Amino acid sequence: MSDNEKLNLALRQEISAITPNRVDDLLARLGEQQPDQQPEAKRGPRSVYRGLIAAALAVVVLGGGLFYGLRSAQRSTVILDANAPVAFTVDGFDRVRSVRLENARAVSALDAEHFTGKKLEAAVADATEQLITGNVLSANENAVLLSVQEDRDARAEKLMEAASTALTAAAEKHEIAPAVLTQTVSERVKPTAGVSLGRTALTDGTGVPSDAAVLDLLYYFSSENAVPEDTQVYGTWAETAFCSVEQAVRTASDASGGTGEAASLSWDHSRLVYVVRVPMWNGDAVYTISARTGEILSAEIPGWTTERAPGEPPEVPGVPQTPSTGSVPETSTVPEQEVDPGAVYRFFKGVVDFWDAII
Amino acid sequence: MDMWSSVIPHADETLIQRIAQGEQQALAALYERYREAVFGYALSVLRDRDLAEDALQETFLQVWSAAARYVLRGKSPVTWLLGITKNVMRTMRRKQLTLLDENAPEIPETTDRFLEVENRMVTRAVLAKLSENEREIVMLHAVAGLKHREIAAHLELPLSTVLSKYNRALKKLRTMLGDML
Repeated sequence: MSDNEKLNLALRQEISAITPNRVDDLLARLGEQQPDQQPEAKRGPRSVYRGLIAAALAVVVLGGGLFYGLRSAQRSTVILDANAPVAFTVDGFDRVRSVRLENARAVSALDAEHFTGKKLEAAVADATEQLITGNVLSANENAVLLSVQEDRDARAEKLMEAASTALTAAAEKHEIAPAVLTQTVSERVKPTAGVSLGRTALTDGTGVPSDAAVLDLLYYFSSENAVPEDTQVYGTWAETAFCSVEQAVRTASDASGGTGEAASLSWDHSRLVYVVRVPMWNGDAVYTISARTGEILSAEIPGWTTERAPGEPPEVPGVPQTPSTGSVPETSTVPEQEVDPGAVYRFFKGVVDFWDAII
Repeated sequence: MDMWSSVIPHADETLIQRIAQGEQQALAALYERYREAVFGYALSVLRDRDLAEDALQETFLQVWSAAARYVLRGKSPVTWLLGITKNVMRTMRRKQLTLLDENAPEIPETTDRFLEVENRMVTRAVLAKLSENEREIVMLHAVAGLKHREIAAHLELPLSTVLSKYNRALKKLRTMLGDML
């Protein structure tokens, strides 16, 4: 039993123990008032009554068959995306009719045949279990995008509740508290080639890369107060997953020797980054810092540029690799580790301060 | 509400219909079935055991009066019942406010009657540490058995808000009561 289930059970038991049973008092007070009466319907002869019941039963039986057929033919789509999106097509009885694994990571982490025929809650719970076992969903990478494609509001809400409850319960068994972005998608939305339906619906028109990690999307939308319409968020991202704005500014300031201004969140392809501007004596230096690791990815320093490819080990921050303009004169040599633009800035600032002091 | 329950009356709806026809035993049966749900909900809002007991009795007195107006294929019986409880509590709070005057001693936000009872750690934690919405949501789900979307409709909140508050409330309770679980 999960901790939540234990809590709920304990609360029920405690309330049960302290709830009074004063039914006798209640019945005694009823004598003081009568229920509002509706006029009694006139009853016809018994044979007419029996005929009506028989007709009603016939309607029920015939209607039941039609009802079953119609419900069975209904289709809705529920997409669970923890960077390994799986789309469940669900019938009117909430049973999974087909499964689509929407990228290579989903194919390697999930067993599609395992879900077909199950109730949606069971399928979502199993999928969550597999994602956790495969280390796709973890305490540090705890964001999930849950999308329901269904135009009938009540049906969409019911499916969303079933899926989110199953996801949360399955994750909590592993002591993971997921952060969930939920959205209802219109049936008119079609997936873009190579992008899952949920991602298409979430990122279309926002300027945000559709292949970014769900956690980055969640952090970005929440931090920028730009959660798309028809999207809701519950839960919070893993606290250790991102470096703070303050850390990013400090990193840029330390690297440059200047004082960084407030960082803004942006995207470097599908990576979430902070962009920090540091005023220098000859213009602004711009540092691009990974929002996840806090390391400097690139620095545009007036007169110098450094850039590293993703995955490349970090150089000493702020050290230029190539001059940004012109070729190096034949007679000059610039050892790679010698020039520190931060020191240059501090030198010229010192000169200016000295000049101000003596005038 | 799905089609089947509109064609074949649910047991609770049958009870309500019998109450509407004046059957006291039907009211007693409904009381027995839902007194914990109503009391738990009232306690979560009023945070006073005496007031919650009063709300419980008043709710079922109003059920006796209003049963004839319950419409089959409308709300589910338990949400209809808890809707009555909500109105009863609203009336009780209004009466409380009109009795207050400047010279009256300040009525404490919570009374400690429930704290006098031993071994009610979870209830105490719920009532003392959660916000009003969180208390209602936890009690309606855990004790009354409402689904989150039913709670959202009852409290007139978005479903995602209910899910968020529910998860936050349980996280607070787990943090407080962790070793006891």
